[in-house]
Amino acid sequence: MATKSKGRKKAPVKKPGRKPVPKRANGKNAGHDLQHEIEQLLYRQAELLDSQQWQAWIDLFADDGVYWMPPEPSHKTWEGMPAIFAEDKNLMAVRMKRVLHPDAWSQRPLWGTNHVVSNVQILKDAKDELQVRSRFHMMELRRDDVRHFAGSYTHHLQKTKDGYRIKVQRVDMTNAQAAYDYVLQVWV
Amino acid sequence: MCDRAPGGEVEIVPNCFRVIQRSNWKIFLENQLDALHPSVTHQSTGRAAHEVEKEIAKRTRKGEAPLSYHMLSAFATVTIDKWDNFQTLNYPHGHCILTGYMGLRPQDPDTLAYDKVMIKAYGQKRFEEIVGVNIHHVLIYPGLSVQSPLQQLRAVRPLGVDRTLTEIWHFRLKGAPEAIYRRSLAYYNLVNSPATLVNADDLENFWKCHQGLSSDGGDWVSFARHLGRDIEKNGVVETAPNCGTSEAPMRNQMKAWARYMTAEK
Repeated sequence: MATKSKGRKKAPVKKPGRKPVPKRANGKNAGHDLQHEIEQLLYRQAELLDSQQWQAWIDLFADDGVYWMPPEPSHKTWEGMPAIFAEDKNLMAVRMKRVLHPDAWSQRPLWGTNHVVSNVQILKDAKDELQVRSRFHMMELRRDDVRHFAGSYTHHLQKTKDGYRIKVQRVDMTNAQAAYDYVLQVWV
Repeated sequence: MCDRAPGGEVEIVPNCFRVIQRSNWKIFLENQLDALHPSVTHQSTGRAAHEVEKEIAKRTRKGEAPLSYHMLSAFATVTIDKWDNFQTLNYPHGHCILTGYMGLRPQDPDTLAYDKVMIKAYGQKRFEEIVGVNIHHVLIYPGLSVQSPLQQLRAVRPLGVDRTLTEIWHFRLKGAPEAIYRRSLAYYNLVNSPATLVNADDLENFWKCHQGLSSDGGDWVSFARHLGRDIEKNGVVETAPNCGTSEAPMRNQMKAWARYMTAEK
């Protein structure tokens, strides 16, 4: 701890709040506030997955929202293309009900996961729609086996009266094209 | 499969799904034509899909969920007693065929449109021959599992005694309507992707079988189901009527394997 605080003294970090906050065209505070709001949403979606609150996680999606994991980065759409996941809210409900079903013997014990989300960049800030890119690392435990998955999220977010909702959550796994040792059963 | 394409050829669609099973390759092949397990092993997926399928039907005006839900809910709606209606044909060298299920000749608009294109390409007589081929699933022992009506192919590559790589491909029938490809794609994504809610159950069971076989629990596995009821004609073993869950395919594979293992150089 002592060395850490020494280092801080040498290169003091400017407090972000002192800078004038840039205004967006609609007059609302952009910049830090928006960045903070979006980061909180991404952290919340990761937290809901890790705490297995899957219905609350599904509720983060817009009615026509899609969770999509392409098998390779060049894919531009899931329509008519092979996909590891390409799920609307109905298919998400199937997955949730299946995993929680008392007769889902293959899913006992349930998977434990731990997501870390970082590198959050707002790529596009249009009127009611945002495009956000971030990076994730997920550690997963089942029985005595640990697996690691990592990659990037691209979120298309829609502004609603209840805050942002996910239109598309694109998940590009760095290991998407590698052979899967067993399978994925819950969203990454 | 090529015959089923109006253009006489199939196109390999890129993105092979590769999944590793932590079990011996023979367990996977024994599972492929087994008619006894689906309604039990996959019941949680079948029931969950059936529940959502009914909700969608209630909500939508058409009163019908997309066909892809049926691919999953069939595991719940086709109950265990119905699986004996199917039949397997078992050929020398371990090869086997499962005859049609899930309706090989459905009458939905997409299939009827496909039938029209096929008749135009082949003529009525040849068309009837092609779609009349009563095959749902073919096993080419010991390396390939092919579902030609859904254009799926799984290649089996043993990596070690307890590790097996499956490479899974799907195909586009050249000249067929897009809807026919979409059906194949839906099955590929739902049943064969690395996030499948179906094969996940099988893989877990294979692992458990392998663990059991590696233990000191017992030296023998019984493949005796419906033994003595199968019908043999010209070296081909057919399962008897209402005996579709006969373990004839496993017996057939083990016979071929024993012969390979004891063959002289």
